[in-house]
Parts: sequence; structure tokens; C-alpha cells
Amino acid sequence: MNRKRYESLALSENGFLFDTETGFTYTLNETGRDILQDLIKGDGPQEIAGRLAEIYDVPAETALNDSTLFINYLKTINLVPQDEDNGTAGHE
Amino acid sequence: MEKKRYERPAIIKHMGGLANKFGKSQGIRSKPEIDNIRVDDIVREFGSPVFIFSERTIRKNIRGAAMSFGARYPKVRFAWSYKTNYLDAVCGLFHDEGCWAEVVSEHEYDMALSNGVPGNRIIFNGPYKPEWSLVRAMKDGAQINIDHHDELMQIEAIARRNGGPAKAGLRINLDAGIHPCWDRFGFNLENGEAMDAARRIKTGGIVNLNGLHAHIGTFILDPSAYRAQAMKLASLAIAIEKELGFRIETIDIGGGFPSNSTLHEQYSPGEDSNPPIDAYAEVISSALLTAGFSPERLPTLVLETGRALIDSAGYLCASVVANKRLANGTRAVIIDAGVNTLFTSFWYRHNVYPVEEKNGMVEETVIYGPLCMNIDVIRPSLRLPSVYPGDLLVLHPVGAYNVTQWLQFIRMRPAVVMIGLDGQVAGIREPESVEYMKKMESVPSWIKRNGGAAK
Ligand SMILES: Cc1ncc(COP(=O)(O)O)c(C=O)c1O
Repeated sequence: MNRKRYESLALSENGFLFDTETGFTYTLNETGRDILQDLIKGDGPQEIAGRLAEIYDVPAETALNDSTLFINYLKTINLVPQDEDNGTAGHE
Repeated sequence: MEKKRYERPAIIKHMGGLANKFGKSQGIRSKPEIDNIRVDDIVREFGSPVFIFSERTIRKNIRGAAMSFGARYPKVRFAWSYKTNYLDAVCGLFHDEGCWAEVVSEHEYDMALSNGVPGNRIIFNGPYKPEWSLVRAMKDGAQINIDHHDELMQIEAIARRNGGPAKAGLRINLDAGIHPCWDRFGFNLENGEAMDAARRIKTGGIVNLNGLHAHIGTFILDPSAYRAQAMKLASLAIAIEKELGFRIETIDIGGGFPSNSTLHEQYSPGEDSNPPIDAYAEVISSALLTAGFSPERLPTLVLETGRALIDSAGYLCASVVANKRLANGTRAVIIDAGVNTLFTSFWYRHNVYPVEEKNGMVEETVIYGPLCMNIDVIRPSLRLPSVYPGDLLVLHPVGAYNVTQWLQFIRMRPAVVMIGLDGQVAGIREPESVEYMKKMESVPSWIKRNGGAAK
């Protein structure tokens, strides 16, 4: 996987994201920021969803569904490498 | 440790060069209650989607409008425009507040009668009034507004047959300086057709012309159009009185005031920008008061206001069915009420409030209805916090035209509920069922009902 992509993502604590590769900026909500932070750290979807369910008032299954969809979406907008594991493997 | 409140992960891209107009507070509030009654309780009892009407708001609206006009003009009459909303419970409230009935078909006329309105408090408008319905209306003493020459001749013939004089008004169309300029109903003022019709009535010698009526359009955001309309009708009335000796007792300016809703093409929200009813009352009253009527012959001002009186009293509560991402990345939400239920989606940007407080980040969203039709779009674009299947949304204002123009198409019409002044909640129309719908049909005997089994 191309981890270099993550080096160009400057994500601040309050959810402001600057993509130095494209110059685009984004705002993430708290859970969105947590997921991207974890991806940048190198965590996989199962771990990410597990941590969400620990911190937030959300069932583990919903957390996994939502983070899977979210990671997919990050791929479609080219913030996350296409070959990033989005958790579907874990379901198979 | 107490867990944090969960919100679906979301990300929003900032638009090039512009300050970020997204973010936390987009004025999206929640609407857990209507008139202090919990919306989720209503849905639990009556199902989803469900229309909810507020008696308090209906009474407040009509009293406010009556006050606006009554304070400025001495002789005012409101007639409830049935087509805007002819649920009996709704009509009943308007009649209880002193409104006459304004109807545009024999069916609406029947409804008014069955709501206890005597014929002589019914205004009968419209381009098609079957012969028998004219006979009935004339016998009842209803105010018939004649739409075209053929109808005038019909009325004269009926009067002659009855062996006595009849009374009627004329529907006029005129240029009030707005577009579109409706000229398909009634007799045109500017080309002289209206005055000619009045002369023609005089020559006939059997109909007493007693009123002028014009409805210049709907959702008219410019009060000055009504100034023009009232001035023109008043001048015509004075000219008719002078030349023909008819006494014009009523000047009926129709409906057309906007509600606090927002049209798709409007820039700012209707709540903030649509003129209040006072602005209309002011120009109409002053036009009539300064038109030159002698004080003892001041005509009664008749208003057939529909939308502006009922829109804000109606809510639709619908449920979220699913979330989607469109191929272009746009977030989509599917709800259980479609354009067949909420017809006004074609014209309005309805306000959408989650029933439960959602204080998360809002995102540009399209709201689709449940129909398998591309046109089934409830809101093409709005900023909405994240929602889940089963979450309730309240759409507002939806009280005008929806519960008359709704279609049974793919899905049935839902229940309608009213919240009374004391917080009582009552169903005022049952949700439709396949059984109800199919009651009207029959299958001819030669059509085999073999359920698709091969021959
Ligand atoms: C003759 C007539 N009167 C009154 C109305 C009510 O109009 P609105 O709901 O715009 O007030 C209509 C609506 O089309 C109408 O045709």
C-alpha cells in the first residue's frame, strides 16, 4: 500500500484537513477525524471501528458499517489510497 | 466512563476561494414537538408518514388576517377556498371562525353544504359549472361568479325558466403588472370585454349584476399587484354603477397571498422575506377607500385567501428509510414520503427538521421520496446533519394544496391528524389501503384471473 499519500495530509485536532498534494481543504466531524487519524497511524478498519465503539455511544456493528462506508468515500475523493483495506475483507 | 455522543463520520470539502459556509450551526433545529405534543408519539399511533394540522395555528392565522383587514376596511368577508384544503375538520375550523365557502366545482359545493354552510354563504367560481349545479346554486342564493359568455346565457335561461330575476357576479381578468398575467378565467378588463359583459347583462334584463371577482394568481410576492387589482376593480364597479345602474355590493379579490414557505427560485427564506398579510391589507384597503365610492355604498371586500391561512398550520412527519452516496459523492437520504404525497415539493423548498436533536456537522444532501421515479425529489439540496434509518423528519409548511392534490401513486395517501387547542390529538383522515382503492374497480368476466400461470 502506498503510505506516502498520508504524508501529504495535515489533519489538525479540530478536524481541519489540508491536503498538501492538491491544496484542497476539508472539515471533518469528530468521528471522521478519529477515523482518518487512525488511518494515518496505520490502523486497519477493524481496530478503527473497535475504538469508535469504545469511545462513542454506538454499537460495534454500526461503527464498522459507518467506518467502512466512510473509508470508501475517502477513497472516492482520493484522500486515501485505493488499496487501503476498507474492512470488507473482514466480513468475508 | 461516560461514552461520547456518536455522530456518523463526515467530511466536507471547502469550496475554492470561498469562506467555509459549512460547519456546525446551519440553523437546522430539531422539531420534537408540535403544539407541545411529541411528534414521535403521533407517529407511533398513526404511522409514518403522517400529516399533522394545528388547530391553534389555523385559528391564529385566520384571526390575524381578519384583524389585518378589519382594522383597515369596514366591510370584510373571508371565504375559505376549498381547493386549498377541503378536509372537513379544516373547513370546519374556518367556518367556525366566520368564513364563507369558496368552491370551484359541484363536488366542493356538496362538501360545503355537508359542512353546514348554507348555499347563500357559498361563492361558486370556476370555468365549469354543470347546468344542474347552476340551478341548485341559483335556488340556494349562492354567489355565482360568471366565467364566460356561455355561462351567462345559461344563467339567463335558467332564470327565465324559473320566471324570476337572478343575481350573479362577473369574474374579471386584468393586468395587475405581474407575470404570468392570467387571462383564461373570466372577462378581460383592458380590452373592454368586462364592461361589454356588464352591458350584455343589463340588456338581458333578468340578471342583477351584484359583484366583481378577480383572482390574479397565487403566491404573489408583490403587494402592489393587489393595489392595481383593487383600483381597477373599483373603477370598473363605479363605471358599471354609473352607466348601468347595477349596485356592485362585493369586490372579491380572490386569493394569492404567499405563505411563509420558500419557492425554489427564491433566494432568501420565505419566513424572512415574504411580505406579511398586513402589507397586502394596507394597499388593498387604501385602494378601495380612495376609489371614489360614496361611504354608504362602500362594497364589501371579499377575500378567498387559501394558502396563506393554512400552509403554516400543516406539517408532514416522514421517516428516513436509507442513506446513500450518489456516484458524484453527493449524500442522499431516502424518506417514506414522496412527491405523490407532498405535491408542493415541485414548488417549495420545505423546511426539514429532524425530530430528534442532531447537533452534528451538516452536509449538503438531496432528499428523495420512496417512489421508483426519477422525479421523486423532496429537496434537491439542503444541509442536513447525519440521520439514520428510522429517524423522523418534519417538513413544514405543507398545509396548502397537498392534502387536495396528493395522488395515490405507488404508495397510498397517509393518515392526517389534528392537534386540538387543548392538546387533543385526533385522526381526521384515515390512511388509505389497497382495499379502499380497489373498491372502485371491477374486472370483466372474460378476463381470467389466473395469476400469471402459463396457459
Ligand atoms: C378563484 C380562486 N380563489 C382563491 C384561490 C386560493 O388561492 P391562494 O391559495 O393562492 O390564496 C384560488 C386558487 O387557485 C382560486 O382559483
